[in-house]
Amino acid sequence: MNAPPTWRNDVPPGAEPVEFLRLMLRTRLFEEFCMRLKKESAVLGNTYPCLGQEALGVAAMALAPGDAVFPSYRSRAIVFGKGATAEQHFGELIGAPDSEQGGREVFHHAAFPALGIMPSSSMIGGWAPTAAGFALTQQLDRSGNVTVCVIGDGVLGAGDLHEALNIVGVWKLPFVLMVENNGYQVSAAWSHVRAQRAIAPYVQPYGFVTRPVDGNNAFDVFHAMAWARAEALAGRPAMLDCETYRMGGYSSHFGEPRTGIEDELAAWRKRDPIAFMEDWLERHGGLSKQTLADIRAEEEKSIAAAWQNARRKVDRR
Amino acid sequence: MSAGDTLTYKEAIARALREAMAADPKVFVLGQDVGRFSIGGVTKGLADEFGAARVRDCPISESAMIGMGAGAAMNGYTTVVEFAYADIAAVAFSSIVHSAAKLNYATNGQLRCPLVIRSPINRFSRHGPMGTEVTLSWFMNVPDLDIAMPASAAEAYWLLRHAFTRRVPTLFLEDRSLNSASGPLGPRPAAPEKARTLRGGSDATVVAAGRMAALALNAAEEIAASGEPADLRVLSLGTVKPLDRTSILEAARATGRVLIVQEEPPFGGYGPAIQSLLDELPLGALKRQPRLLARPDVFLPYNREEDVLPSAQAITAAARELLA
Repeated sequence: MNAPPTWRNDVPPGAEPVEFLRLMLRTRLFEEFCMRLKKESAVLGNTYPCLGQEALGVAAMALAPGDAVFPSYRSRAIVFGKGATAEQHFGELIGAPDSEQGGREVFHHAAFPALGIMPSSSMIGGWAPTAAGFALTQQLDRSGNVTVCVIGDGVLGAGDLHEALNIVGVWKLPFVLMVENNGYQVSAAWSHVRAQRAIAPYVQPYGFVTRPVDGNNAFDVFHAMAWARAEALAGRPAMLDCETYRMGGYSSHFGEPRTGIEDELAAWRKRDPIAFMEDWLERHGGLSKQTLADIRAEEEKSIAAAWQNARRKVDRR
Repeated sequence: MSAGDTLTYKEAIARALREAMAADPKVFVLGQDVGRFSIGGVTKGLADEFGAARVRDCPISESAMIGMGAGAAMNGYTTVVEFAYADIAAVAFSSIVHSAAKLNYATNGQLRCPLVIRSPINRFSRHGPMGTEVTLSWFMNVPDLDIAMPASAAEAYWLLRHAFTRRVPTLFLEDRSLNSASGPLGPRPAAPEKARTLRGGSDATVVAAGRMAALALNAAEEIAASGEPADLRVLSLGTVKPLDRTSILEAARATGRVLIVQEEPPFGGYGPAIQSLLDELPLGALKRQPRLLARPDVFLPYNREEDVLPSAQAITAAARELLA
């Protein structure tokens, strides 16, 4: 079955839509919290918020615990979806000596290997081969697990990515390439850096099955990853082209111009993944506006508590 | 294997690799023409013995091969990447430095990276400026990257076995011009990574690695047998990083004169590193200023490559000057 499935808007079997909402809220509130910390100079590190891309995290919920994820530096939602906590992340952002990376590595590269969360890298093209290497060992182990390599669409320009995808295709590794296709490489729109917006034309020749994904629809993201995982385990490496949009800036320190794209921003604001899910839960999930507000308040509280805990640990020393 | 076995340099490498694969099913090889056909000869027979899944022929993707080795290490595997020749390391530089060498450090030891990069120096193979380089000095300032440069069959064997015990990658710079040089493997050294004294002597020390150490031994024997004999100690580094500071300082103190020989220009490499190490000695500890014999700052030509490399004669002459 290689025909790409179409976008799906139905509830995946066994999925809890309210958990999708919680994950997305946690992600957005965390990103906003970090941006505030940075603005107030409460932390050293720069942040790379995934505002607007939160639904992509739901992909992690379609994975098995033994599956590995190689996140991009903007994959906060997926990292949370795979089980890392806000408190762990704050520890890394502070650079606490007793955090997992011991203050050696920036928080958006942090690894939590026990959870299947591998590190990220600044060498965004060069990191695809590491994910491929991990997938090779899964194949050698006959582990029944997959490796998910998450990249932004800007990585299409990097030669190392293509070296890796070629090998993955030839060796039919249990590998899923998940593209956070937000159409921008820092300030450059996709059309300035490649000929086609879609990713499929670039990777199909390497032997990948591909699927376009509504990256702002948690249901479609979940369905897509469940499909991709099954394909990859059946010897067909898969690519998910997750169309989405970065509503915030590239990072807390670049300050690239965002003028002239007001129409785009307005159009994508209407496709906000969290608003969509809240609306769906109200219409189809039987949740009241009050319940939705309570959920948001709970997530907000837990982020603030996570920061306090992480801070306290450092202050105690 | 018995300690008395005499093997060639190339056989020693092949044996160490074979034994590492037999000892650990999570060791595999990536390279071009390493499986069905072994172009360099070192991996010959490994695919038959261990299966094609563990001796994998790759596309011309050296950067990806190194990256894959780092990724495999995250899941408990040790990858042996074979480059066709050392110069190729340049196209994989980013993967070696960022993906492999930094992994153990950046993850605070959560993830190890015992990757073995076999990067053969094509000395005297007539491959010209793009196919005969040493490359060692390019990597000297990369922390957590071990660099081995064996001078003999014994060093080649024990250093390659040692590489599989590390939590960081090893750049293994074997020199193809030594491939047929044979010698006993000897008993397992207590610390394989320590420098080896190839020849005892009290008048001066020559420090070098790889082919230069082998040449230095020849020069030392020649001087000892000459009409004006002197007794040169020859210290073969074997492992260039981590540098065996103790053995170098010991030899320098004992002989008072140090000649360092390296096959690369003098702007990096173990030569300048050892010179700066010797600066730590108190005034008067040495009888003469340490001397570095290095290649001039030129690439290696297709024809007359040997003209720009330190020769046994040049080592002899430099040693004579130091002894004068």
